[in-house]
Amino acid sequence: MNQLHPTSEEIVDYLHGELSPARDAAIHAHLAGCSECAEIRDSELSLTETLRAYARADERELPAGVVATIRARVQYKPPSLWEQLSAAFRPAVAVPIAIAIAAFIYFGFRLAHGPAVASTIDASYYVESHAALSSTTPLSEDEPIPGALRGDDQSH
Amino acid sequence: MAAAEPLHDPAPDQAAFLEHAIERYGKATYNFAYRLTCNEADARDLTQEAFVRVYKAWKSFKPGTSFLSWIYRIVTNLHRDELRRRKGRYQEEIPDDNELQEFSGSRPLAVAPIDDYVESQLSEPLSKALQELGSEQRQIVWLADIEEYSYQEIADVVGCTVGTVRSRLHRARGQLRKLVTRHMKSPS
Repeated sequence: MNQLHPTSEEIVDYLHGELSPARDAAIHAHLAGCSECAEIRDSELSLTETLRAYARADERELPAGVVATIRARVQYKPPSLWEQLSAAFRPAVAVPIAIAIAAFIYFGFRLAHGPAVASTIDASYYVESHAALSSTTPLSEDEPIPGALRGDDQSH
Repeated sequence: MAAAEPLHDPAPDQAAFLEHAIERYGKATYNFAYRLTCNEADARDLTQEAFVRVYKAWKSFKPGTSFLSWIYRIVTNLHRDELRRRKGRYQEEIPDDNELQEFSGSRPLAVAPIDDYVESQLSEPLSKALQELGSEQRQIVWLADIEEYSYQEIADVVGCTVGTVRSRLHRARGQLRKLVTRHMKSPS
């Protein structure tokens, strides 16, 4: 008998086809001539066969409720915050929202600051009236009277 | 081999993909989850959650690879997370590779009990013995001996090295023998 018996672990690996081809062949040859190791092999095989028989006998069907629950969970799951944000920023939605925001900011600014007073005064008034006043007798108390004031006097 | 069986022609539609997966692999997934948890309620929860994950991540599945290995990996990770979450509330232990190994590096002390196993007599002791194994050991025995996965495939599912698979499998088989023998001698 060959004194270099494989370990039981090697025999298990052999039965699972996990050895290198060379080692597999060596153990295969050894088992053919060693009753002691062949007994271990048979024992390991028996354990595996027993496990398989047990598994076949104890096989379970998938409960119907499991499938129903899976379907319910994947169909009625509320969208995540990210999914909601992604949906909100689609171009078809985002462009009108951007226009509305821009309009709100523009008109909101206008309302908050009231009408622009400076833009309602005619600049020519200052140029013409003030220039006319200063170009004649700026220190005189008689003439000329600025146009803007003259109307008041004439009304009397 | 079951592990190499791909999900052929995955449907282009997400819902159809899910239905196809449930139809073909729902039962196997549930049985795998049951072997991990040893109870139906947890197996149902694990199976449901795993298929919801499949639905969400369906585009990450690579056609031509093993769908079963993929979903077994999902189930394994979910179960591991659940064990961590429940730690302290439940008794189940995650096995440690440094535990004493009765048969480590040596030949079996006795082989006769296995030869004496008769199916009708063995079912109950084997059921008890499997439940007493740690969930990771039970999982590896299941994948290696029932599903006939290679060590590399098991390593991919469990997320460890081939060497760890080998050592856990050897230890699990050794413990299984010991536990079955004990339950056969003193059924209770």
